[in-house]
Amino acid sequence: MSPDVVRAVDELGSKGILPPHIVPRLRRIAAGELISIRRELEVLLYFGVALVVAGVGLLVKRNLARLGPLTVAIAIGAAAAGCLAWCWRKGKRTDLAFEYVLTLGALLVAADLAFIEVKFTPLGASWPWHLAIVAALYAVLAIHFDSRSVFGLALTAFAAWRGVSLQLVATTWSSEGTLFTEAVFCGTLFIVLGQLFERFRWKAAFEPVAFWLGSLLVLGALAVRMWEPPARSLVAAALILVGAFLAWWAWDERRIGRLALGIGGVGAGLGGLVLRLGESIDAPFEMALLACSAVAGGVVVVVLRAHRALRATT
Amino acid sequence: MRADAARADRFQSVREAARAWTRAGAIDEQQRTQIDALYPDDRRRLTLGLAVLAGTASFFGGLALVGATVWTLSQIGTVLILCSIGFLVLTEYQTGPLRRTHAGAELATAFLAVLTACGGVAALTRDIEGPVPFAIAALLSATGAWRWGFASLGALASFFTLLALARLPMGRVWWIAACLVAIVVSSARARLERLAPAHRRCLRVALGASLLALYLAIHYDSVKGGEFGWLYDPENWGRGALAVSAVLTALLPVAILAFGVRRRDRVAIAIGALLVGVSLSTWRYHWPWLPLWMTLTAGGAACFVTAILVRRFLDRAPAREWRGITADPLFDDPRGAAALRVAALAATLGHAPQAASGDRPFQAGGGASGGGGADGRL
Repeated sequence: MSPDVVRAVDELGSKGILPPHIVPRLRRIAAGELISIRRELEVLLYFGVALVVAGVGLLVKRNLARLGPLTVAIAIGAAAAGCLAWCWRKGKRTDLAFEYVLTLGALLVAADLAFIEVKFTPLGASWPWHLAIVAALYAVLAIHFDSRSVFGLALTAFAAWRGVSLQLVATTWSSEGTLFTEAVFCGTLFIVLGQLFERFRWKAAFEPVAFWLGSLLVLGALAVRMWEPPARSLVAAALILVGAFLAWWAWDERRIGRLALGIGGVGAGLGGLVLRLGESIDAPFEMALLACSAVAGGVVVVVLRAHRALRATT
Repeated sequence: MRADAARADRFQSVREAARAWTRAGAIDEQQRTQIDALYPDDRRRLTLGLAVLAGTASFFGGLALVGATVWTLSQIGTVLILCSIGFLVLTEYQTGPLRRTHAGAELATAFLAVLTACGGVAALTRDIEGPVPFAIAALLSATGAWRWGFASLGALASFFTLLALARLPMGRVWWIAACLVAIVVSSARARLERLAPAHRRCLRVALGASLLALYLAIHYDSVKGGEFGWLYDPENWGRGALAVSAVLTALLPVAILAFGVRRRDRVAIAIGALLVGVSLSTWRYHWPWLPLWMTLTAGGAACFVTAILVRRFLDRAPAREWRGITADPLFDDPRGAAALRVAALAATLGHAPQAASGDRPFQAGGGASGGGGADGRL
């Protein structure tokens, strides 16, 4: 509730700025006499999806050897089909639960496919492809139902097929492995995919999902790789370049969140480069801290100037 | 809080409401422009993305500066206090002459002022165990919240107050008493018009923190000892106290939910619903009468059914509302909600990365270990 808005509604109503027929409703909402619990219901639905999928996953994982495979496959498949049939019947996203039922259906289909693959081994030696198939299936569902949530799942399933996840990129690193190249590959692919959606004006609503997931993967991979030898300075320089490119691109399109992401990438890369330089010339620790502080100050100055320039142009 | 900052805050809440009305089609752009002209903005604000970046850079930059100074000079306590004064002046300068609001940097320097002051006091008194440093930290955070109106400092003040109380003899009793007082005071005062919107936000944060802390203090496992031993319990609470805590663990979430519905308070409704889930999990943990997979599936189905039934009930109620509660959006930002939903689903329910070699694994969706992060333990 906001007493200031209540007073403002009264004033604006008396001045004729607000149409008289909406004043009572606006006043009630501002006074906290009418509240919406839509977000809370959405959170409840989210927990519903997470718990059901966790329960099904645990059922199959723990009882893989004991359960009758056909029964389980049919049961999970029936539950998934029920969810998808409900979504099919609804057709358009008119219902609060639509996205969540669709997500649950998609995840249950994936669980069923995974179970069938493990139990009946239809893919044989090509079993690693099952996540690619799941990603393709998610993509089909996302496109058919115009669902950004399921499209996000399709991208994460594709990345998982390539051995990458956002959490893995952010927390672990092995310089010998292929995680870095896979993460950069997936990230770049997602960004390009998003651009294609936007360029051809087809499913353009998917573009932000592809861009954010892709850019976070690329920047995250570079930022984590920057601390591991070899070629740390080179990776830091690459981070600066990628960040600068994203910032320039976002500036061109006046997309503030993406601009902040790009500037953040440049700042992180500069910080890494400065620390690497300090290491190579054996600079004292306090000098390295001062240099990092200066880089952070530079980032703040760039942000403030960018904001001022944006305000001047809009 | 400065009078001009409070006035700007009030105007901002009106402009934000007008933006929401425009988004929902209740008023047109021309009417919104008129409202903006009547409630002008004299502050320098940044958009969310830039504010987050500026705040993060300022915080870590300031922290690095403090680190370099402390590393160079030997008098840690004095240096930290001096740094705190410096950050305090910076925050005052930004919120005063520079008229910055929601710019990130002023929040970062305010946080640094409080944290370095706390560090300085701890270093000078050489006491990090007793209640005094935490009480001072709570006082400083509360003063910051009052002066600058940052809700995050309000949260910090609540946190430090509870830590200080937990270190007193009979800490749990003090904790419960403080929570009850805070709930009564903050729920009543959070609706006062004479308070600036920022102060009302601080009180709402304090209300949320108090509700959670009260639950933590009466929770069965916390009373039993174990995880929350830092509450300094007396030697033995006895079976009676355990029985009371078990009953309260079951009843308090429902009471909070009822309180939220009665007062149409979204914070209390959300916390009450969350704690109902926590209490049910506690019950399942101590009395595992169903297999875990069945509990999870049934719990998920219950969440679904509850959400759908509540929505249907509200949709079918007269004027689509019951006791002033509706499931309609009411000027919420649909784009923000959708972005949050996509991010939450993709980040938490995505697939675990593919194993490149080794045995053929079972990889269902829904996070690591085959679903929602479930690993077979509670």
